[in-house]
Amino acid sequence: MWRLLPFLVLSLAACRSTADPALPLGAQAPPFALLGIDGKTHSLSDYANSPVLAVVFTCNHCPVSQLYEGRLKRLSEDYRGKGVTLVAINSDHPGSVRADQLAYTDVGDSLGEMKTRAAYRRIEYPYLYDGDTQAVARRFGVKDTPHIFVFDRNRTLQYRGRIDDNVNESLVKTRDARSAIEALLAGRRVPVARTVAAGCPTAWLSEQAGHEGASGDAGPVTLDMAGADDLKKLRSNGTGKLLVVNFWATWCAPCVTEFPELEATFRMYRGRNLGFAAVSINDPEDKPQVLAFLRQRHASGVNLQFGTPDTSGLQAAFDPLMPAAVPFTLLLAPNGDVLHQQLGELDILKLRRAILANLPDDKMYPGLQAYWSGN
Amino acid sequence: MNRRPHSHHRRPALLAICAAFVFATIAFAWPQSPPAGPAQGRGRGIQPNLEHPILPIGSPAPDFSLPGVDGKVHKLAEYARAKVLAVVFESNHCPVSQLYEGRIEKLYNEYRGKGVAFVAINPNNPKSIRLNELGYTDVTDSLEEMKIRAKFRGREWPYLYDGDTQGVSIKFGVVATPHIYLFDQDRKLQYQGRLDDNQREELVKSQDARNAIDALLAGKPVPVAETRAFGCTTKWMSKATGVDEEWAKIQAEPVTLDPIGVEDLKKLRANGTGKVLLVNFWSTGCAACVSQFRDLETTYRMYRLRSFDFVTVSTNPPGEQPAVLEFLKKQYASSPNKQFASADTNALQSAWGATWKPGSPFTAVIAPDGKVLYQKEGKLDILELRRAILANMPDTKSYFGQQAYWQSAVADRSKK
Repeated sequence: MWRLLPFLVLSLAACRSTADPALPLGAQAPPFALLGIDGKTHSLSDYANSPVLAVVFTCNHCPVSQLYEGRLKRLSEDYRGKGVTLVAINSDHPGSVRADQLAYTDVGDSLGEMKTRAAYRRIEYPYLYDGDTQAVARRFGVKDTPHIFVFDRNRTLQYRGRIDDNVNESLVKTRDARSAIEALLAGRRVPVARTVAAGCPTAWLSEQAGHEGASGDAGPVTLDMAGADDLKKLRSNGTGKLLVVNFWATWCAPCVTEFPELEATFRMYRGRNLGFAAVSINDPEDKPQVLAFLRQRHASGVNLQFGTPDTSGLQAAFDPLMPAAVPFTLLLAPNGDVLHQQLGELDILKLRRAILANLPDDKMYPGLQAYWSGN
Repeated sequence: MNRRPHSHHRRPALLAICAAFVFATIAFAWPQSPPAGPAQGRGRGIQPNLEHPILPIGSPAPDFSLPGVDGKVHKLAEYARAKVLAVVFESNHCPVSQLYEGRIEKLYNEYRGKGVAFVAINPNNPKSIRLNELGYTDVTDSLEEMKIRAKFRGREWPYLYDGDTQGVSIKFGVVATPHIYLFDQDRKLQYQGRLDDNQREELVKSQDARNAIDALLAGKPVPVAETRAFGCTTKWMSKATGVDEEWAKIQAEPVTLDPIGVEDLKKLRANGTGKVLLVNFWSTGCAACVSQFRDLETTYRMYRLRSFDFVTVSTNPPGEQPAVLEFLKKQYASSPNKQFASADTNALQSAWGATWKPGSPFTAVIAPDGKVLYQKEGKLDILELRRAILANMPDTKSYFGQQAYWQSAVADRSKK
């Protein structure tokens, strides 16, 4: 028994970071001082004059957080004039979010990426970053995003939990956070003070995802030579999936530079309905260099290389309207429609957003396609 | 979408028919608008570049007034008497453009006596080109550097610079370098696209630009009026270029410094890297070394995506390690850095197999088999060094002739 003690202590220590008890009702608001997307440090005391303070833990990568973003915006806008302040905090540690957890997002959860998202989605409420230490998340006892805490004028906790009762906004019956804010403004008791927040688990520092992406792709890298018929087939996309096609060459610096981002993009979304074909337009005799490049990058999609030196003829076989320069990147619908295209070095976020806007919604997250199409 | 091959000279008409057909199909298939999605409203096929559309066949030649490598400003009106005007967009940095330079020169020599005027324009904004896009060049794409290249290669046809505003390039809708546009006597566009159908000259089957020139001179219709320009995409100043991001990444690369003794110096000299290896011996007290260090680092950043490596060796005595490291960090010197492991300079120089004046820079380029390809004691001519490297980087089949481009130029230059 005693021999187990160190192990028990260690286990408890390990649990501590993830299993802090949630802040109890009536507790004082834990102080914080965090950097925001505006580049400034925001502290609890900055909002001392607000009769109601709502602190919501949210993040970039979580699809549920994305689906609640519009509701948070409205909450902030509707009550700003009444003295209510809404402050959003992202406590996810960016290095602990695995590639496959990025299947619904264009960016990860660093402060820089929060700025990118905020600019893209025009987020105006304060959005603060806690992901380096997660000290604030632990003080609040947060385990999921989104999770909202509503404090009264004395900064005692009066409501904690979900924003409303359905991720699908059209099916919402109880708007718990809104009711709590209304009650506090009217000097009434909050009708329901505790609910359960459900969304994405917080990505803890102690659960480092480690190396980005490539680790899971130890399998062999294949490279097939493609003739005119193969390229015609590729153009018509018979895969039943959305298909990213990237034409590249080892001698093309923009191609080589963007390749890791393309691979990362495929690793993010491949669990959904997305395929990736990288087509090298190198001369067939360059196959060893092409294969070496692909192996070094654990290129895990379909890899093709032009099978004859007739670059121009093969490009025309793929599509007579195809530009001849590389890199050239296409997003094809299952029926072969061109949904997105970029000539020259990729704006990777544009490609990711086009993918997200065209991946059909799954039942878990209705409305995500609209979220990514809406901007 | 109709993707059958079709004859090029009727393409615009066919395209219009295709487009009408596609729209009709869409209208029938989806009487209501398709589901939301910004990308979905854009049509089903590959779209032309809408930001910088290519000048349509039949258009009048866009006017221009641009500085050339000869120091003069050149205007469209200068070439009014030419039966045919060829405007070729070329650049310094692009290896495809380099490979076509000889073919453009041949056209120039063959046709200038027949009433064809040639004008080359560099469309690229030099500030929009990253260092790692300079893997096949000694210089980048500014006007001053165009002058250097033109002199080095003995180019005779006008070479104009549009990179500061790109106003002319926008009017032409330049896709890539090289991209050629041919205007008839009335200065109406009769051909645009590639020079020919294969960047490997020995495999060329269709001399599209030459065929068009011949047709125009003979007063016949151009057989194929539009082809796809192949090469390096135009470096637009309006596009995100990644130049700042590249620099931020370079600044974040770790800088290391390790001692090197007699045995490791011999190994370094034998070059087991399988790559072309640049080695620079330097010291913090040597003014020439310090002043050229930045250029050497830039050279490394230009070529490192290729089969190329760079090692710096400080000849400072071991006790000066902190000062050496501090300097290297300031230079963001992220290639392998070494420092003499002892103060016995003679022994270490002889381990390398050369002697040079201590306190002077010494630079060598070593082939994968250990052969010395270039070496220099004293201050470097950085362009001479870069050309020596480029002339010794093995070709891949895709860029067959790149090495020869640099070799012939090096040879020509040494003759002069």
